[in-house]
Amino acid sequence: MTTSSPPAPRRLTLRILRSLPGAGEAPHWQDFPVEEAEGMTLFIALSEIRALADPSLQFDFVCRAGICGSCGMLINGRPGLACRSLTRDLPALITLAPLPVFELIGDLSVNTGKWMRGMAERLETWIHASASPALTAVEAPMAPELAEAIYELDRCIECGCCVAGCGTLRMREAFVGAVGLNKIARFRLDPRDERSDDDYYELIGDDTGVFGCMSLLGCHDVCPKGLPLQTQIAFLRRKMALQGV
Amino acid sequence: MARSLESSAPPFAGKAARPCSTVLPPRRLRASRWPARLDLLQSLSGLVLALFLIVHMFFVSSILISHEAFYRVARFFEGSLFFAEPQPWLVSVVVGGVLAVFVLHAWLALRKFPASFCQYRVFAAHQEGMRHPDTRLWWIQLWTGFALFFLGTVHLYGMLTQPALIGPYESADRIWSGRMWPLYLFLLFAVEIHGSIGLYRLAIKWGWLEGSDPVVRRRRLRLAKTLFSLFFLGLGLVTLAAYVQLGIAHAGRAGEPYRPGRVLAGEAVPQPGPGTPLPPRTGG
Amino acid sequence: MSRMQDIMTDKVGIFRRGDLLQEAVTELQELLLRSRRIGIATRRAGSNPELVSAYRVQKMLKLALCVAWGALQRTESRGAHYREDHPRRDDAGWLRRTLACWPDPAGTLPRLDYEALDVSRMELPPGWRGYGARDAIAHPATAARAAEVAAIRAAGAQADRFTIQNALMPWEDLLPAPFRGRNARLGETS
Ligand code: HEM
Ligand code: SF4
Ligand code: SF4
Ligand code: FES
Repeated sequence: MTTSSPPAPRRLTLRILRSLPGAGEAPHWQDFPVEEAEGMTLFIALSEIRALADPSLQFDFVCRAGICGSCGMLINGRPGLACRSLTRDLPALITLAPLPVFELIGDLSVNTGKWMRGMAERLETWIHASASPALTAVEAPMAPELAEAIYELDRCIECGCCVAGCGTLRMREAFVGAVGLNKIARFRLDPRDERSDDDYYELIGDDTGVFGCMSLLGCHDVCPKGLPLQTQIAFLRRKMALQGV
Repeated sequence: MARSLESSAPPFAGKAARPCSTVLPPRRLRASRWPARLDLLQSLSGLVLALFLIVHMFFVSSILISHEAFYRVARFFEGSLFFAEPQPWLVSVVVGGVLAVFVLHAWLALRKFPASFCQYRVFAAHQEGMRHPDTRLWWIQLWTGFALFFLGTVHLYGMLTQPALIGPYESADRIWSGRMWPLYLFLLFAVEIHGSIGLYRLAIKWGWLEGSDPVVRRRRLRLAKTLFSLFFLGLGLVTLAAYVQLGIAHAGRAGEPYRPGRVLAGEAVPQPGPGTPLPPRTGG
Repeated sequence: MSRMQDIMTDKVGIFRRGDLLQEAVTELQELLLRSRRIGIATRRAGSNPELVSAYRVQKMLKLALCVAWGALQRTESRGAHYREDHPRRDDAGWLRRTLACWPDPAGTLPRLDYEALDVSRMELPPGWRGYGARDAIAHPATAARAAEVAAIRAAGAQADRFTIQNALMPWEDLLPAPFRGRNARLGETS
């Protein structure tokens, strides 16, 4: 009987777009060899590079489990979460670049928070209620189906993948993006938010809002949380078009 | 309220270091209703054009049945049901209407075109890096739409000004002896591809036919779109070939209009009437 | 840094033993001394992650020493601190809070102080919590306070939960004024 030895692990090359805008370091590609391991994610590979090859490599991680939204980057040209990308699903040459649109901090690290904050302030993504909440009263009940529907949209982790995956937004940076439109869809569902479609039209009823979307569906297809962005945007478009006629 | 999405675009792959448009219009008291209307008009005009295109393709392909069939279709549009004499101006009116919708649609589409080299370059790099089918479809739609500016306009202008010259020989002469066939070939590809993608996008954009599983539905819609393209491209190519063939045959007598019942030497005499087999079009 | 992580995982986990804790403290002290001579290999401006770790690692080591040194002194088991060599909870000796501080910047160990807890003011004096062996070494004040709590509850059988709470352990005055209202509860008629 012959015992087949396990196949030798693949030699991966991570081609990383490095830059340091603050110090005037121009963008350039740098290759790092990594030996693939069982169940390796890009997070593990990047940590290995930082520990063994170049401790100055900048990238962001917090949760390592697709929950915090910090680790979005362009993986072979498409936006995705590095902590949820297994190297075995990728070719041996993996290019990594920072997400476009967002302010670049250095190497793979971008400031998504600043953009998301601007979007949230612009679209007023919070509950608008005229009465201040009754602190001591029992909370008003909500039908489980409705709570479920709101939660479905609330799962967005603001990773910015849909922003970077949207051709419209890349061309016209004033566009609020699928993440913004999804927030409006979420608050529109919420019975505690007293805003009407007329109010929402004020926020997204133009070419930087829902009518700017060209239905390229890049957002839908790259969202790591699988949010129903395609149907939500179509739904908002119908509602907002009704406001306009 | 803050109205700005602050952003300074990072260099993507070393290209396009600066954002293209970050200046936002100041907030007005009440947002205009026009963006909604323009969006609806864009879809409506696209839909009308696409429906017209389908009907139009079936009419012109009547040449595949017989010269007579096409002749009758052409006369029908000149009011043969109501008037004793052909009234070509009726055709002009229809063409004029289509032209108006066409111009409106093109004007609305301008809103979506990349408006600067910077936007162009960003999108080109984006669609290349993303390798994403729907993004690429839009890029194709953009270019075919751009081609239609010219191809469609020339065609429509011809039909508008020479409505009487639509008939089996007249059209065939225009296509062959008038050297219009290259234009029609490009026009055919541009309009079929653009129109089918357009119809697909309409369904996606407004959430028609979403069904319970939008992912499956999208795959089916895309298949339907491809079949639509292929069917009309096939039909169009065969039709165009028929005109070219007829045009070559008729080249010696180019300019002579078609009279029902008279045929080229060597061609079978069409025998209109129910139950007659299709006449062979062997061309001479 | 990864050596520190290994030490903490292997020797200062949930299940602890005096000799292992002592080894951990010794090794951490060596690491701390080493970390005071730390340098960085890369020279990159901006938020260089190597520089960030270099700043952090000394403080992380000090924190690790507070944990390990404190655990070594506490010769009892309590919650997630399980001493295999001292398996019983010792309320008489250890019902007190460890306070660590680092007065000597050049030193390699923290100073530990202890703050006793006042059983006579507890709403729920230490007792058996329904799991594990019933072998804790009781605090001398526990029995008296437990009787007191039972008496207050018996006396206030008719009173509402706010009144009982106030008698056992008042805390409303610690809240900001807007939050001192009486919260309604599901299924409770006010
Ligand atoms: C000058 C000629 C034309 C130009 C420049 C043009 C351009 C465009 C562009 C850029 C779009 C994309 C709009 C968007 O993303 O929102 C579009 C959509 C569309 N076009 Fe055209 N087009 C032309 C002619 C036609 C013709 C002849 C047809 C008919 C077959 C047609 C049917 C459509 C349809 C159905 C849509 C989708 C509408 C929508 O997205 O709302 N177009 N066109
Ligand atoms: S919608 Fe999806 S892709 Fe966009 S930010 Fe939220 S989680 Fe990320
Ligand atoms: S569907 Fe709209 S929001 Fe999503 S990627 Fe396309 S243009 Fe952007
Ligand atoms: S690290 Fe939190 S999402 Fe990837």
